[in-house]
Amino acid sequence: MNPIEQIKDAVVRGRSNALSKYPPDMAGKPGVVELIETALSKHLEVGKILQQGLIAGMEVVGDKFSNGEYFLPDLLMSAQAVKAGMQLIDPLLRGEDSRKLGVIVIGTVRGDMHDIGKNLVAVVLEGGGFDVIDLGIDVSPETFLEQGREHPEAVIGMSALLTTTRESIRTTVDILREADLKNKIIVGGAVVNQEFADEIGADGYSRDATKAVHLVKDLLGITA
Amino acid sequence: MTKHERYITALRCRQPDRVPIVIRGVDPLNDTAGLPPSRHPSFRFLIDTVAENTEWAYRWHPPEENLLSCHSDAAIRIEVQPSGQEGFDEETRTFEAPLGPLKTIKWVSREGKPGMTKKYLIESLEDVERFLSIPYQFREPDVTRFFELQTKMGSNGVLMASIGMDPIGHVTHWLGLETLAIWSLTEREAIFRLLDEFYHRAELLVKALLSAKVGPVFATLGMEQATPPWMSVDDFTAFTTRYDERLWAPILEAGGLVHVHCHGNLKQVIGDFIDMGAGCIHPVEAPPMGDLELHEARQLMQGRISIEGNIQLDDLYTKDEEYIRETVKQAITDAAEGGGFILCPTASPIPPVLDEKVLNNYLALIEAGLEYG
Repeated sequence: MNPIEQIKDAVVRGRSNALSKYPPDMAGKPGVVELIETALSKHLEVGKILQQGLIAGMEVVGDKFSNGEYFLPDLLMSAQAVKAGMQLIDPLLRGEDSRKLGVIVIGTVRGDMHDIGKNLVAVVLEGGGFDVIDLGIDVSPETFLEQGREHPEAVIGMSALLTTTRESIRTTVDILREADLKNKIIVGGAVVNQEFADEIGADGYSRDATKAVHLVKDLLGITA
Repeated sequence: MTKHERYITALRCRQPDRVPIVIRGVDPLNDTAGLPPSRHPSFRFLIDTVAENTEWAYRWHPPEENLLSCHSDAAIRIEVQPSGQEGFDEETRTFEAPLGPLKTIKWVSREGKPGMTKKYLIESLEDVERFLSIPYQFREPDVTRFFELQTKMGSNGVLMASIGMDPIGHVTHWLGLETLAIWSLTEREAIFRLLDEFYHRAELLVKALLSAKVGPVFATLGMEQATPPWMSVDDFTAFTTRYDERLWAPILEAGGLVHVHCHGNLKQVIGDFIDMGAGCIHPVEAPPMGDLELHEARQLMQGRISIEGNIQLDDLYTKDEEYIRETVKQAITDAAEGGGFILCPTASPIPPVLDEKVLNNYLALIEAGLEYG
């Protein structure tokens, strides 16, 4: 395997660094951190490390999660590996065209305190190559609006777990549309479905975290 | 059949004279037993309808907080302050464990809404040691209230004795799902130590309840966060099945029955539930919330586990009465033949106030259940 493929493989295996206990069969072997250091020392392109190493690896992980081969622990370990790698290359990407695929502003809507699903989506999107601005939980429509104005190119993602807070998604979408924001809006969460997304005029709905990556790419016209 | 006979017959996978109907989270027993009202006055008509027309289910909880016993060596300090989030207080609990303090922070609603954990009690291996250093001394549960409630329940339904969360439920409660997930790959030994400890504590509780002749129906929950895709099937077996089958064995030996509340995807772990000896599973959700249609669930459960479900709570809040009637009819068609099916929503009502539309949907559920069941 070439250095980029090794990085991709380390992401798929969820290996952050050489000191990590996981996976046990890779004990003593380099992880994403060491492999990126080596790649950089060989003057490999940072954009290539990001796209063909980290992001490509996370895509494999997402597919494995979707088809039931991987589970939440595998997903989180790979996401940690990507995060560790990003800490190394992020400063080098600043200002380059080859950096992140796009910006996502994400949050759980007003009145809803549940964040496991939203966090998972954020982790996977980040691993998928996006800059994620996580607004947290119980986010007011005004905050989404403010962020939408500040990041007009961003996709805005909102979620709700409860039937009672689902209407907050509708309210928030209405406010963003009335303010004539052009941001694409995606919705998700246990009580949300495609029918609801269509009804409130959202641009997309994703049932799970890995599908959210494909959805955002589709909305932004990213073919890679 | 009395309501009690009908419900217990279905719980034991046998054929009652009609499909029992249980409205989870709406408890007429509170009135009968002189307990404080559990619901807002807007629920009054529904509670009365449930009392008259459906089978009652009530879970009695032994007085024990999360099986965490803190005595002279480990006091709990509770501090409450505004959270900065409207309607929520920030509650900090500090456990003065012998090996050092442990802290958990929660946002608690002032209006009874669901809260959230901001900081879990156990975040490191050092925290595990601190946690396990807290002295545990089993306290015999006072079961007087169980028998009082059983008398009040009479033939209206089934009083269940809650044994609370199972060991993996407790571990998840203190670690949080994300740490549990990562540790399932990196720190398995720590997870097993915690599981062993909670198993030990739960076993003492189960045996004490059985000795006190409490039962025969016991309620539990907690394993849903070890179901796929949160955990692999192998890990569900390792973290849940291997503990719960031992924990429930004395209940089954005594002729009792275990009622399990477990959301999520069950298809791949139904065999585990059969191995554990589960008597009834609630709510057995169809896609997208779960992965089992009722007819398929019946097939997989082989007449060994009864089903309590599976009218989606969300539908009761969003659909119309006709839709609810049709859904009930379909559920009964798919699952009731041969017995072992109890019609029930997938969850308790969440909003504190019941509006008219939702009330009418609940009434439609009950009416259709009586008509088609």
